[in-house]
Amino acid sequence: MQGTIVSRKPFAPSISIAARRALVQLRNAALGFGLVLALWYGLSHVFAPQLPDPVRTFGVFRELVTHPFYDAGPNDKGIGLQLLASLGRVFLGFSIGVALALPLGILMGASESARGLLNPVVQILRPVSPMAWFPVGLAALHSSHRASVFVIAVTSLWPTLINTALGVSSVPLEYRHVAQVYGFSRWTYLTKVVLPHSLPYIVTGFRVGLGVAWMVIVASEMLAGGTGIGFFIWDSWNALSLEQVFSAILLIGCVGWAMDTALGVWVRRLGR
Amino acid sequence: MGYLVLQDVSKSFGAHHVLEGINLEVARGEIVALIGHSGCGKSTLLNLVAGLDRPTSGTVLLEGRPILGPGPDRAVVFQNYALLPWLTVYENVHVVVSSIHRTLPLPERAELTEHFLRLVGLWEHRSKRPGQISGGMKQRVALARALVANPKVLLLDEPFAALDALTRAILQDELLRLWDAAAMDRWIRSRFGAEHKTVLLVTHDIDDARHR
Repeated sequence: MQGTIVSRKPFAPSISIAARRALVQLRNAALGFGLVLALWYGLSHVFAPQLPDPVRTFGVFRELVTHPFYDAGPNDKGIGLQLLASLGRVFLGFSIGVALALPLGILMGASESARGLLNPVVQILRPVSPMAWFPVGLAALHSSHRASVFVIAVTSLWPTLINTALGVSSVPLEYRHVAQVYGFSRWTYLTKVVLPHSLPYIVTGFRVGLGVAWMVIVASEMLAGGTGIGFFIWDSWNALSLEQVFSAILLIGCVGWAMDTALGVWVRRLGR
Repeated sequence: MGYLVLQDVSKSFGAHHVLEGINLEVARGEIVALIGHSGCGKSTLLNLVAGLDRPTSGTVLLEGRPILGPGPDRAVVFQNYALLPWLTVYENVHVVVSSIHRTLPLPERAELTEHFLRLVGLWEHRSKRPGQISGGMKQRVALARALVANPKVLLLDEPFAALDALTRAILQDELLRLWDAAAMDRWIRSRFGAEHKTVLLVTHDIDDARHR
């Protein structure tokens, strides 16, 4: 039989499948937000007239984001400056927490006796709301700003600690055998086997820790006062501007989403 | 007395006796294949020689000295090769070179890594990661990693189990060729000595065992 190989060009759609999927996702997201806005509008006009409606809120929101960085004294700063103050505290506290959690986590994952020693303490302290540490930070560090940083450090400590320990303790037996057979030094074993294996676990810990820290900072700053997005919310409430409160909620959500997405991309890239 | 000697070796895991009263002598430069069903204890025996496991009773001797733990004088080609997936082909071999030939200056370590990667024909693929190469290539990386340690005994744990039948036949020849090549290679001879390595091979496939 005579055969000819026919090369057929695949049907080429005008837009790629990925782009079409993205469009569908975008449309669904817009639909979801639209529903919530409609509900909000209905609620604020029918059941709860004390709530500002979406239209008024977006007017205030636009005002806030058009001049985010103005600074008119200690009690009147742009929302961008408040967000930056909060982000600064979160990153400082997060760095301190992670700097403590990484070595402790490696120790817990690598040594049975270290795990026996530390795990009960971790299990008891972990479920405590980090805010409970605020007075401790205040007493020890003599400043509400530093107490907030302290609270964030405590917050980010646990997820990183637990995930690092999990990653380190789950190094597959065959890699441990390779290290034993070929006489890897402790340092080589740590840097070429343990840490590369644990990195996806550790970054997942970062992701959880940063997410919780971003939630806790709002509560902490409400208590601490001075600057920050948490203080801004409490200050707006005192000024009876729920429009500003709603605007801040939206901005906090966007920033948190951006941080989580960035770390999510990192995790996925490590998984490959 | 033999080069590698197992004297009355037994191994139990709890109440489960895997090996009992094993006696074996392997001469220097010999290739010995252990054949048996899956789960008959041959891999356990290999692990005892590697030092990754300790016998419940009896002793394992290499050059008359008891084996007390794992070490690079008994290099293992693991069943699934156990290459470190985050390191490149080059780094997988080089990390062993750096661990074992610690007194060598850096340029000579690089030379050693390059030479063994060329020997197994993977120099062109040195920048790839294990996930990007075929099973046969992974096996050659694992072999290069084992040979570069200049072991007294080479231990191969089901070296062809993870491969399809066609690749397997090719690689059986290739393994022996590489084993010869490493021993004949003048560059390697001048550094590692002239004799063939003693090989202990574990397999459940009789074809693998009688191949030579």
